[in-house]
Formats: sequence, C-alpha cells, structure tokens
Amino acid sequence: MTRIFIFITYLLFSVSSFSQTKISYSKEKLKGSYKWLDRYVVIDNDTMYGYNSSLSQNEIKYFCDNLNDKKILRLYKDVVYNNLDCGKYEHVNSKQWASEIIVYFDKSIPKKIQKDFKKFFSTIKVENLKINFTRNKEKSNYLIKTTEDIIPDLETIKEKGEAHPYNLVTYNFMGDNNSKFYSGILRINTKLIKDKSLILSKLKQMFFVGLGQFTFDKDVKENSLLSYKYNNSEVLSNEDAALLNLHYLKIQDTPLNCHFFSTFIKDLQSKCKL
Amino acid sequence: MQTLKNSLFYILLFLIYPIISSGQSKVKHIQQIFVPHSYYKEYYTKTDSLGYKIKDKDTLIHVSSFIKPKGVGVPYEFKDDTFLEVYKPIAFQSTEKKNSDSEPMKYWKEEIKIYFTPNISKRVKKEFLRFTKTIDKNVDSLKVRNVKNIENANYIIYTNNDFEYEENLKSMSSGGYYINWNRKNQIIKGHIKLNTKNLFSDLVQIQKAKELFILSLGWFKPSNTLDCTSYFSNCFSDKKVMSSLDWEILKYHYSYGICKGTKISQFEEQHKRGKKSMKNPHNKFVIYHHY
Repeated sequence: MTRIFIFITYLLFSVSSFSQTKISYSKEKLKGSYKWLDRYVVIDNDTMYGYNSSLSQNEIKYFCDNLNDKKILRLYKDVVYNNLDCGKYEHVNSKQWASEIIVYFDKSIPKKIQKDFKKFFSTIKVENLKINFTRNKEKSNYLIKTTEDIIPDLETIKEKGEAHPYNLVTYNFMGDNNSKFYSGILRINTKLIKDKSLILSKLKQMFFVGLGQFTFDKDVKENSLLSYKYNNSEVLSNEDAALLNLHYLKIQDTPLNCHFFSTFIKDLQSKCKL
Repeated sequence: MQTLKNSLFYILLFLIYPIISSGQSKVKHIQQIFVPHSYYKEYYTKTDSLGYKIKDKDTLIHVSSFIKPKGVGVPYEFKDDTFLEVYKPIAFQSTEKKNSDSEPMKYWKEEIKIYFTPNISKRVKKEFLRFTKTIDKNVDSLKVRNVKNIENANYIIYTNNDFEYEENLKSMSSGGYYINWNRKNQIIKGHIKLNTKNLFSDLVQIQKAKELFILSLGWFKPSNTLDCTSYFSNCFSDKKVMSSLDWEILKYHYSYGICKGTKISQFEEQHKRGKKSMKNPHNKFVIYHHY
C-alpha cells in the first residue's frame, strides 16, 4: 500500500487553510479532537494525528547544543522505532514515563545489588524524568523483585545463554491510552542465573530499556546499556545519556510515531539555525 | 417533540405575547399559553382548546390555563458553546453505527453506596473516601457514602483476590469499572476491580480507583483534548486534581437544568430551543422532571 505523508503546518482553528486540498477528512472531527495541538500529519488520506511541538527556548538550546547529532538521531530511531527510514512499524509510538518513577526493591534482591543500582541511576540527571527510591512499597510505582518463573519462554533466546539481556529478566508495565507508563514490575530469576555478576547488569539494562521501551542494538559500544555485550560500566555512557535526554526532551501530549519524530526533529533543527 | 417525550421529560415553553393596545395611554399585557400537542393530549380535554398555531413544525395548542404535571420544574441551565464542545464528547458515547445518534447519557439518580472488600487496604479506602466526600459535597443531586454491609451497597470496590463480583471485569490486567443502568438510563449498580498483581501498591491503586470512579459517574468517555491532570482526560497523570473545568463538567452532568438520559440530538435540540427562548426576556424555559 502506498503511503502518502503530508505534513501540514496548521494554524490553530484555521481548518480551512490547508494547502493540500486532495486530502479529505472531517473538519469537525479535527476541530473537536485536536484544537490544542499545532502540528498535524495526515496518513493515507484519512488518518490524522496531531501534536504540540512547542518547546521552551532552554529546551531548544539544549537540543541544538547537545543532541543535534546525526549519529544520535539515527541511533534513536533505531532503538525506539526499530526503523531508520520510517517505512515500517508505523503503529509504533514512543513510550514515556509521565510521572516520577518511585522504585521499591523487594527484600529478595541482594542489598549490594540494590546499593549499586541506586548509585548508578541516582547520578542520572534528565529533564522531565525523575527516578527516586523508597523503602515503603506502598508509596512506590515501580517494583523490582525476584521470580522463579523461567523467562522468557522463547527457546531462541534461551539458546543464546544467560548473558543475553532478555534472558531470565523481564518487565511488565501499566500504561494509559496515551503511551505513558504509570506503574511497572521488573522481575529477575536470580536462582537460575549462574554468573551472579550478571544480576546487576541485567537489572540495569532492563530498567534502562523500560524507560523508553528501547531495544537492544548490535552497533552500540559495550559501555552502552543497550549493548548485547554490556560491560556493566559504572557510569552511564554518553551515548545512553544522549538517548535518554532526547527521549525526555519533552513529555509529548500525544505519542510520536517515527514520522512525527522526524517532523519534530526537523522543526527543532530549523530553530537551531536561527 | 416526540423524542423528548420519550425521554420522560417535558420542555414547556411559555410564550407570552405582550399585546399593546394602541391609542391608549395604559399598556395592557395579555398572557397567552400554548402547550405542545403531546402535552395537551395527556393533560387536557377537547373543550380546553382555544385554537392552535404551528411553530417550527410543532403544533402548539392555545389553552386558557396551564395544568402542571406531577414533577418538578427546573429553569433551563444555559452553558456557552465552548463548554458544551468539551462536555458533549465526554457525556455522550458514540454508537457503533456510523452517522447515527449517540448513546443516551447515563447518570446516578439514587445515592451511591460504596462497599469495599476487606482486601482493599485501609489507606486506599481512606484516600478514596476523602475524594468521594468532596464529590458528595460539591455536586448537587449526587450523593455518595460508604456502607459496611455489602447487601446495602450498589457499588462494590474489590480486587483480583476477591470473589468475582462482576464477570465483565474478569480479565482486567490493571483495573476497570463496570456499571449497569435501567431503561431510564439511570445507573443502578457499579463495580471497580483493582488487579493488585499489577497495581501492587496503595499509591497506584488509589490513582486508578479515583480515575475509574469519575468515569463511572456517567459512563464518561475520557477526552483526548484535555490536559492529563484532568480526571476527564484520556491520559495518566500522578498530579490529577478535580480542576474547575472538571467540577463544571460533573456539576453540569448532574444539573436538573438539562434533560437527563437524552441522546446528543435531543440534548442539542434542547439547547437550541433554550437559547432561542432566552432571547425574549418574557419567556421562561423550564425543564420538567417527572416524579
């Protein structure tokens, strides 16, 4: 099926001023559903998505100075959308935590692991992403605990050995209808992991992946949490920090698919030149 | 007019025509009363008719005096279009059929009596009741209280560790609500289920329960256009509060200054007539609710 993507600069409420008249859609639907948004993408003549592209001057400056890098932007598309050219997986939207993440460690997680994990993630400073820890489970929205379940059921992953990042660890998140997470449980089978040094690295990797539903990548350096051969670095790599900052540059009013993201970035890049 | 009748409410339009007798220094006002034909048939006999007129395709019968039906008349509550554009998609669920009218709006007529199963923690219960107390206090015609005996309840809040009180909530991974209503579109029973396997802490259970409760007060459809901090929005926020707009939506939904249990077409027709009527200060537009 031929996909037609038309990006329309849209002035609030001026529904009649479209440059592409061949696109048909309900104006009333548009007005009623998206009146607080200022950018639109029309796909296949009938599906329209909108988002608010506004960013503060500080956010734009931060992007221009630190994140406007071809390599990072390519990597981001790869690990968020699994899709460099936005030609497939259009239904994939970026996922974010819109609320503060309050982590509680179940007592079954060794204390040393807890301590090192906290130390690692406490140093992360990302605008729009807050990670905190609590000793009271009832005040948390993110539980890290052990399990005796065999994870995953997939033989193909099991065959890759226990060091494979998806092996013996998994998460389950609760999200709203807007691709925002509000609660999660990260489970690890510590009994079946023979090399106990993997417990910390697996937890760190899976926690990081869950911050944006990222995927692991073959091309990243070994100090990246997204590496299949993660070296359990004591600090967050620059690459990972950049990905996280890009992902949380703004809590999106509506989730971004790959095309939206491209438009969002083009907007920002045009502002960098000013 | 027939459709409004079906909803068991009557909108009565009093047309008062000031007749000025020219040539006299004294102005004399004569009140003429017209009632809809359907209303005339129900409350008057043939000899009561003094004539008739056609107005906006409706037949209005001229009568000498107005016979009040059994019920309460409440003055029409005006709301501007901006508010109504937010309210309507929330209050009126669309039907599955394309281009058809909406489902009728739903509301609680009886007091909501909530029972919590023992598996709901004290903290969740306490925080939830604090929230419902503000609703009970601020919204006329909507009463909410806690009951200790399940037999006295019409609203049950339970978990996955309890008996399955509502089969339709069996497969909920996080939480959900289910309401039942009668033929008058009055909600008569409600359930909230919290799946504590995934909603593992008091914090997330409270957030979820409050969200679901608000939606269950009118089979509301969460809005994509409202900020996530609104209880009527379609997205999560840990900073949800009943904003002034949220209160306005809820109060309006429970206002008897509009017809209850109507579809969107009836609702819009009602506003059209109400606004038209308001143009003449001598007109009164009253929403009559039967006992």
